[in-house]
Amino acid sequence: MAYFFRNKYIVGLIFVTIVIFVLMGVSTTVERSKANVVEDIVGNILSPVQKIFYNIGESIDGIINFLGEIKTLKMQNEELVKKIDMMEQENRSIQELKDENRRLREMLDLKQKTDKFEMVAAEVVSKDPGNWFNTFIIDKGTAHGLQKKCAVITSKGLVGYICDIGTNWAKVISIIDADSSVGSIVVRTRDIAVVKGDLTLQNQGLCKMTYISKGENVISGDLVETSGMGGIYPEGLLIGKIKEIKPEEHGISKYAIIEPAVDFERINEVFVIKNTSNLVTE
Amino acid sequence: MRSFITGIILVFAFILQTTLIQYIELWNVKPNLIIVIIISLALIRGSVKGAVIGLCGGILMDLFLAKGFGLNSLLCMYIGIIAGLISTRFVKESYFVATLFTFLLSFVYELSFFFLRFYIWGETQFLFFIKNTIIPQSIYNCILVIPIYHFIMKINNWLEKRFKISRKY
Repeated sequence: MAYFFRNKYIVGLIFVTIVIFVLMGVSTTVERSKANVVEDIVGNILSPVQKIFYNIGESIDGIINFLGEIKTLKMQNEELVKKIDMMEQENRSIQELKDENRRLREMLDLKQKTDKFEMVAAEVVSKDPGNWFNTFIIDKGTAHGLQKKCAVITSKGLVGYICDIGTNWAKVISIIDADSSVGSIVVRTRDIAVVKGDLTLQNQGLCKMTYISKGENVISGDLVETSGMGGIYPEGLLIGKIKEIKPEEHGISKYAIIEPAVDFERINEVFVIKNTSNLVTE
Repeated sequence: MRSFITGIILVFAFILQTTLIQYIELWNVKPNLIIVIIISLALIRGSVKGAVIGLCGGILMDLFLAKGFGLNSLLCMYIGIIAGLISTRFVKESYFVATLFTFLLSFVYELSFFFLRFYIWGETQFLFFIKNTIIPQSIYNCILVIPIYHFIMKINNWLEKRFKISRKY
């Protein structure tokens, strides 16, 4: 034993280990509204560089996709021209007017719905390094009027919420992360359930809807929205649609696999709802 | 000078890991560049440097974690120490040693991370994650280690040369 304490490296190692244990304890118990100084500085320095790299990756991905598509484009084009000819005959004025009417109505609804949101546009600068989580960093922070627990959406649907924030960056935990759960409602049947991230599904970009009682007749294809309960998300934000329904192991209830409306693999521009806290009834 | 360049390599690896690595996913799994760099550096520099490098890399990863600081720092530090201890017992400049131990250490790292972060909190599908995340990632890491180990050895040799020359003056 005495030998161990004479070796300065081992003493150092024990010291560092204990310090990390203490920090671990502190970081999991202390509730804070903003990241600490060190995190803030590191975030402020790294996120502009990460933004550049993220954008490079995106443009390379775009070019590769474009090159890959060229082969199939011509074939598709011919097919499409044929289809268009057919469709033009089919599409008569009444149908068109009907569609237009419905579309306009929807747009009006959507505008009324989103009018109460004050939104800030932000760009994704980086994603988490490992395979176990699904979080990312955006390029806006407290300097742009955002706070912890603001909801984050895209034009397609719900993304997640801000779980940690610095001056010029914010960490967003997405709804498919295993630590996330969202109070939700099935639009057609008004059944209430909870959408949770699942560790086994998150790498495929899917999540899970649990606590659906057996009597409820949800079917695959049903749309799921936020219910406004739970204190984080305002109601009426689209989460996604039900892909598959399975019975729970214990047989009392069933769960559904949800395909989120947002593609988390290729996420770039998001909107943060600045006044989330005013819209949520706790 | 040496530690400065090591720091730059780590930060650069971190930036790549959080931005571009997601485009080279295989089997829905991305490799962990930072672990690969920590293992390669520790194999060359020994256990004390390995511990410091591992600790720094781990802290970087922890700062960007959603909640809970420390698990990566601790695991990476010990991975660095183990890799450093290994290097004194095996031929240093062997790609075979690097590949083998990257596989083993990545496996140990991911497994302990899963165990401490999820398993003890109730995520019990052990075999699923070993099969679908941990083993694919370990394999991916040990493919990645060959070019990285080569690159780091090149830099190390270059630095050693420079260091000796500057000592002469």
